[in-house]
Amino acid sequence: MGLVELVLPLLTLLPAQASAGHSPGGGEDRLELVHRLAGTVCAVMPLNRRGGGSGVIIDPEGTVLTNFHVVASALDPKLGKKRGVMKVGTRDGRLRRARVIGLDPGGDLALLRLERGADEKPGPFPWAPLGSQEELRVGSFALAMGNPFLLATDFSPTVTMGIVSGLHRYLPGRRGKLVYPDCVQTDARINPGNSGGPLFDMKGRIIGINGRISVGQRGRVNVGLGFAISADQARLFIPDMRAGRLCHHGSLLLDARDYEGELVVAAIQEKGPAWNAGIRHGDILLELDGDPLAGQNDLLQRIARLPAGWWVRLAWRERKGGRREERLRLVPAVPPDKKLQGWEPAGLDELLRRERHRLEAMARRALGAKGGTVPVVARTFSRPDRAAALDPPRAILPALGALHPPFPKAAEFDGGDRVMGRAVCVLLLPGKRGERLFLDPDSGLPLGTGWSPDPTESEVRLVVTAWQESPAGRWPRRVSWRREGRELLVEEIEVKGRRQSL
Amino acid sequence: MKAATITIGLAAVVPLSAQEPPRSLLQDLFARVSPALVQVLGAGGIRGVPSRGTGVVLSAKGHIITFDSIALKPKATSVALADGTQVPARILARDPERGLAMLKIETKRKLSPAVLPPRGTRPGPGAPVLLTGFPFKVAGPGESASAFFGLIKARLRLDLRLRRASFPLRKEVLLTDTPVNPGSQGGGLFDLQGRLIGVAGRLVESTETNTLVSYCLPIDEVRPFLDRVMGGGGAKQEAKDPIPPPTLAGLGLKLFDFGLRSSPPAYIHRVRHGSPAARAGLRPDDLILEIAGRPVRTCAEFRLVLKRLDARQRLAFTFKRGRTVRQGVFEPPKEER
Amino acid sequence: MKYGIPIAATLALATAAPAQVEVERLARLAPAALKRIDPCLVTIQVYGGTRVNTPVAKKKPAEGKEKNQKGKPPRRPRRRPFPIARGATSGVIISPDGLIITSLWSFQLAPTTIVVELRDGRKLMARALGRDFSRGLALLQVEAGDLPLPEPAPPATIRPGRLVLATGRTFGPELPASSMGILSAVGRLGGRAVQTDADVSPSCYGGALIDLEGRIIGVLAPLSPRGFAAGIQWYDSGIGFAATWAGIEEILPRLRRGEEIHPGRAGIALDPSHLGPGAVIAAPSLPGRLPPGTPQPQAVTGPAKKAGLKAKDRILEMDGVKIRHSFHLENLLAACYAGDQVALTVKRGEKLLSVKLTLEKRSMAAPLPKLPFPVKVPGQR
Repeated sequence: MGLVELVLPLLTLLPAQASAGHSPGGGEDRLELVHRLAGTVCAVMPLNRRGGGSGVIIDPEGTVLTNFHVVASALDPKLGKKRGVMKVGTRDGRLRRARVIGLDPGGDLALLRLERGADEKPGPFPWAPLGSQEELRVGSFALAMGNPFLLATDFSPTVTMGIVSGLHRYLPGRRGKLVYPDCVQTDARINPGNSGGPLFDMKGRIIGINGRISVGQRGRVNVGLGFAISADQARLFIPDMRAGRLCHHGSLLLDARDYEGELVVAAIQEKGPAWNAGIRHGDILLELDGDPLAGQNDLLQRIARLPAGWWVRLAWRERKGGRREERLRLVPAVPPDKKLQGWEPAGLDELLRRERHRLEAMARRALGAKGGTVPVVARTFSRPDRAAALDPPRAILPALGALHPPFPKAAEFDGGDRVMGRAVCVLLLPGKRGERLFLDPDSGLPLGTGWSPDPTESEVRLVVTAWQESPAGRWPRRVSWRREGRELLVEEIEVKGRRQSL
Repeated sequence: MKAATITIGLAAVVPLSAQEPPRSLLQDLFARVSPALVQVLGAGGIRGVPSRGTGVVLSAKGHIITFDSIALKPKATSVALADGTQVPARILARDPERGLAMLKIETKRKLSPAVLPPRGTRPGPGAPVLLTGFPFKVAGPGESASAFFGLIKARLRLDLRLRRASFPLRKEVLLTDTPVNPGSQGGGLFDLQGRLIGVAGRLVESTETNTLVSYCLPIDEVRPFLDRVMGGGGAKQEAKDPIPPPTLAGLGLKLFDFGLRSSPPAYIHRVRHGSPAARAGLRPDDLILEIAGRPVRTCAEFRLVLKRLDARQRLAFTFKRGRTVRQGVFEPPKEER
Repeated sequence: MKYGIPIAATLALATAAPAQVEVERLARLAPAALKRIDPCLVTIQVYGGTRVNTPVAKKKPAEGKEKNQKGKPPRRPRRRPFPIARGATSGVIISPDGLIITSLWSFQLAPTTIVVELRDGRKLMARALGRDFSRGLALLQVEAGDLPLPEPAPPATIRPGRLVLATGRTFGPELPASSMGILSAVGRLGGRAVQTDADVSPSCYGGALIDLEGRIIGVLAPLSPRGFAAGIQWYDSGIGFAATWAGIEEILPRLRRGEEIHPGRAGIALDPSHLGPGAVIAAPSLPGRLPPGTPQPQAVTGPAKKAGLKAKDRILEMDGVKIRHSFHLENLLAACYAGDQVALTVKRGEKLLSVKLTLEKRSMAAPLPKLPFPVKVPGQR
């Protein structure tokens, strides 16, 4: 009696409680997860015929991420008013219209916006957050959801499960299009019709967008290799697609080959970004953004997943022996598709368009107010958190000052992601509740207003902690970059004068 | 005393629960076994033959098992290790019956050979497995292998199942529901303890089911080759006595198969007096359904199956008479003194 | 310490991340589940019968190519046999008095002899009873009693994401062959089947789709939305179907009586660009270029034509259910059988009409001969 009897009932209670999430029937949590995620998956189909693929809703406003090749048929200019319109079915059984708002043909991604039916009550859409390959390992389980072979007449998606078979895989594209520079390989069964649908990890985050499979004999045998565009790559393009842009993947306009263990420049385009930085034939490439380059495939993969206009830091050794390091700006890898030229997202909000023009006009006025010149600033950074990989944007702060004189007392930024570059920087306009202004960090020109930012967990906030008066007006003196209260970066700004704007 | 032990046991467990959840078993498993996988680079440019395959390191000295292919040429074969280093490889031995080849590399780099299970381990249907390899050139040198998770579907003799005579191995193989693809032959099949229980084979066509079947050689079938090569140096094959197959005439049967366009079922037309068939009790108009576990659907199939059997063994068979199904045995002819 | 260890193990499991696939549990449960279903699976071998040929459309030689290069008339395309298999298939015991349910896969050859091998080694002759073409199944009768039945999985546990095993017995007397996957979807093919990503191939057609407790969810068959046997090319896509056990038990009495059950066809082509409400029948001229000489595909054929439906009609209701869009109507019609009658509310211009539509047999991907097929067997008197 005594302690033994007292403890035993406690012990028998604990297992029952503890295993509540793991009933012998087979993982209740997984079934619930599948049920919840299935609500975020949709069937994306062209308006006028059978066919199509899948997509996933990535924010409560109903933005759908899918493959470019799923929407490509809807972009034919001959469609006139119906250009860019698809029909999308969701698990609740509804069939809605959706409009293409952004495209990334090089990386095979596209963004759509769902339109609510006339009889629909406003309310958030079920959505799924983006995850990352960095949290995966080969052997992690993954769920693929979509609508292969259009089996889902009731729009309940097909769910397949497998493991992550490989990470950071590179699949070459065709003529520069549909390159999959950074994808997650899985043995979860993916088929025609799964394109554009999500690959989830077991925590319910999107780790990739399914797009390609390997086919075996006679083109009819699905051999268990599926490839999903990684969420890390998608993240770099989503903000631009939200802003209604046609994205391009970046290139240095050089060709490097492995030779005797070194990465040697074999061909280089004159007047390209690499040429302009001083790289020449025969130079040896060493590092990209501080990380050593493992070979030609590594270089191809790391550059191809970045958008055009992105800044990268390249270190190389000249033929004569000296080491150099420069900041280079990527240019579009392929000339834009003629068919897509002049493409504007059909149905872009008139309001947004007007707003955009207004802000652009305002910016131009502000920038040109003093005879077409812009301030010259010197910026230095210190990293209290060495582990944070944070690349500060270029001209955001000068643009900020130019746009909103007098400078608001406490301006805050919502960063889009932990890697900021030319991706969108969001300005929370104080005084206007919830309004956000999206700026292109290089030119400072606004891209749009009123759009929700990418709801990721890794939002970065910028807080101006000190001000200065200068000939160019009132400017931030010290800015603290923070994530969840942790200070990642401190930026000191010194205004040195003005120069002619480009 | 007992109570104290129980409470301590509980206390010892509780802090564990407060830690980070452990890395998943499969992630761990792959991390442990993938250093043993290498890409085998053969002579390229041969039409239709993949010039790349997979191999598994079996010893710290550099023995690598892989599948034989005509792309494996003596001076043109090399191996890409897990860290990307390419090392030339010598073809130590080939085993035509099993379709295997043993390579040998010399390198100063530290190798992590695969762990073999104890002899006699027989993984059976339903056992989870991880198949690893380098299919379709998806991974460049230095990139990690691809992993596929599934179960062992069955353990059986494929030569008795396929209608084509091209499956050379008269041994049991493992069928899994993980796919084997061009480039991944020679890859490792691992159990959940990380032991190498099979070597990935090829895709073969089963015209019987009009499907493609992927198989793996169980490690116990590979061991005789390993022992021969890694134990000594030589690559001499044991001479095999030819196996005498039974024939219809030898059994004393004549089938009802008279110039019909498509081979009919194996109905018996005549039984020779005193023959093994007569002793087994067969009569004209009986229908042979199965012999030695292998179904017999047509006369042509019966002849094909007989070629694969051994006349010196007792051969059990099943036949239909009227509406009943019966069993019988062909006894081998007694040896004459 | 005999209490300490198992409890410690349970606690450790409980701390694993939720939704993780517990691979160790799978390793324990899968062989045990196979042992449980083992006695209820049978092997089916068929013998004899004819080969069914689907005639290949005779291609007219291209204009000006009356003779080929050698000056001879071009060779006629050979008749290609339907890609049928002749291997053993599996079956599941569905009644202790000797009823076996299997897939129609083995019956494309109209076999004269059907042999069923039970788990205990007994080989019995079987008689074919009814066939269900909507589920791809056939019912057989053997002379045996007291056969073991599988335990059905509780309907509440049949949800997408559940781990399942596709089992079959075609390889011999050892444990059934199995492949693992999850339930990909429920309610497919008109609510008749569940979908799985386990490897479903002829080696397990007619076999059981079970959960990790060895309980049966459905019977595997080569199905696709286009009907039976059109799904063979999907065998390795990771898309497999199993007719639900509950659904089979409902139609069992009809199969016992020897009936043939067919999925229903309405004969309507719907306009894909209409987003609802209701479903609009396509206009007579469908978009797209057709080869010259091909007749215009009709939007209204067969049963719909007999019921008086016309192109551009808008179907608002079916049997009292408001139609939301064309997929909704397709889904409702997929659940119907040949011979069913449905009541439609249709808008034509300004008029509202009530139309009664009787569904007809959907034609198969390839025609199957009737059973039993009279073939003269040598020795039969």
